Amino acid sequence: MAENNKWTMIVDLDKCTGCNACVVACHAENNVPIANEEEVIKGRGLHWIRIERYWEGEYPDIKARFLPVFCQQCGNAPCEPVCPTYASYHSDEEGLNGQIYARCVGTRYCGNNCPYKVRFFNWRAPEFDEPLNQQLNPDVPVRGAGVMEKCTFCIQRIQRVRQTPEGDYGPMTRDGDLQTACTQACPSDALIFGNLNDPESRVSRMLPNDRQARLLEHLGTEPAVYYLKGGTTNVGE
Amino acid sequence: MSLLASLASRRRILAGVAVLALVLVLIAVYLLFINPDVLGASDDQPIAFNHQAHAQNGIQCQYCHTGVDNSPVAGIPSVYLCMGCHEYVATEHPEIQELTGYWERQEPIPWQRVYDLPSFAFFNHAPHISAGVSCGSCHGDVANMTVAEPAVEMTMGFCLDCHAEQENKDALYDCLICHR
Repeated sequence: MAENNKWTMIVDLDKCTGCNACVVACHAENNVPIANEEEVIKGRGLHWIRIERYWEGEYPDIKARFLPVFCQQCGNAPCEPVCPTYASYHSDEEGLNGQIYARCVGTRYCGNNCPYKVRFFNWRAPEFDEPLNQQLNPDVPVRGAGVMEKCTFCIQRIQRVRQTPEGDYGPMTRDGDLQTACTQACPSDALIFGNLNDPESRVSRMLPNDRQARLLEHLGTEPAVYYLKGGTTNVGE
Repeated sequence: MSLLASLASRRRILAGVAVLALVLVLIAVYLLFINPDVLGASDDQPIAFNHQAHAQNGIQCQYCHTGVDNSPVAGIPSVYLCMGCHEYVATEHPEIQELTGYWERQEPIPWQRVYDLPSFAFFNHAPHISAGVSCGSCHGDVANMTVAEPAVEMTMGFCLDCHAEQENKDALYDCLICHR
C-alpha cells in the first residue's frame, strides 16, 4: 500500500440530475459565503461547485445535460506555481491542492491561471444572515475579505476521520470511512469519492473506465476528478 | 530674560515632567496590577480551581479532561463531575461552596479559555496523546500550578519544532494537517 493518498472523485454524468444538492451541502459544510444578487451580476458569486447545464438536441427532441465542476485537485496544478506566497500549495501526502488562507494575500493570480475557473475571491468579509450564522461549521475557518478559496475535497473530514483512534492515526483511511459533503448529499450517487492509492477502494475499482474523461486533460493538469461520460448507459428510448 | 524668570520657567518644566511621570506610573500600576487582561486569562476564572491540590491527590489529567485521547478537544468537566467528589469532599471551602452554588442553581461554570488558537489553525489532542506526547510538553507543569496559566507561546514554530523531530516528519510537515 502506498504511503500517500490520492483523493479522487468520480462524477457519473448519467446519474447527475442537476439537482444542486451538492452545491447546498458544500455551502453548509464549508462555510462558503453567500453573495447577493448584485454581486452575482458582477461575477462575484461563490459556489465551490458549479453545475453547468447544456442542452442537447433540438426541440422537441431535447435533453438537459449537467456537468458539476469543482476544483479538479490537479496533480500538476496551474494555480500553484503562480502564487507568490505559496498559499496555493501541493500536498503530496494527500494528493490535494491545498489553499492556505492565512498565507493568501489576494493577488488572484491562481484564479486567473485556473483553466476550470473554480477558485473564488472574497471581495468582502462574509456575512451570514440569520439563521445561517447558527450553522457555521466549527471545523472550517470562515475566510475573510481578500482571500482566495476553493473546494478542498472536505479536508476537514479527511483529517477528522484520520485523527481518531478508529482511523488509527495512519495515513490511510478505509474506503467508505469518509465522504465529502457533496457525495453524502448526492441523492443519485453520481459523485463517488475515495483514495485511488487504495486498490480496494470503490474509485480504484471503477477506474480505468471506458466512459472516463477528465476536463481539459490535454492541458496536462492531471486532474483528480474523473467524469464518466453520459448518454451511453441509461439514456434514450 | 532675568535669572528669576528663567528659574520659574524651569520649575514649571520640572513640574510638568513630574506630572507626566506620575501619570505613566499610574498607567503602569493599572496595567500590571488592576487590569486582569495583562495578567493572562487565569485571573478571570469564575472559581480559582487549584490544579496542584487535585494532582497531588493522585487525580490524573484524564479524569476530568476526558476527551483528550479520543477527540480534538480535551474538554472541561461538567459540574456533575466536580460534584461527584465535592458533594462530600472539602465542602466547607469557600471556593467549593461557590461550586455548590452553581450546582444548586443548575448553571454551567463560565470557565475562561487559557489557550486560544487562531481560527485558521486546527489542533487535535487525540493523535498527540496516542503518539505519547505528555500533557506537560505544551501545558507546562500544571500539576504544580494553582490556577492554570499559559506555559508556552503556541505559535506555528512551537508546533513544527516538535514535528520536525518525529519519524514521519514529512507527513507532519504537511500544511493540511493543521490548516484547512
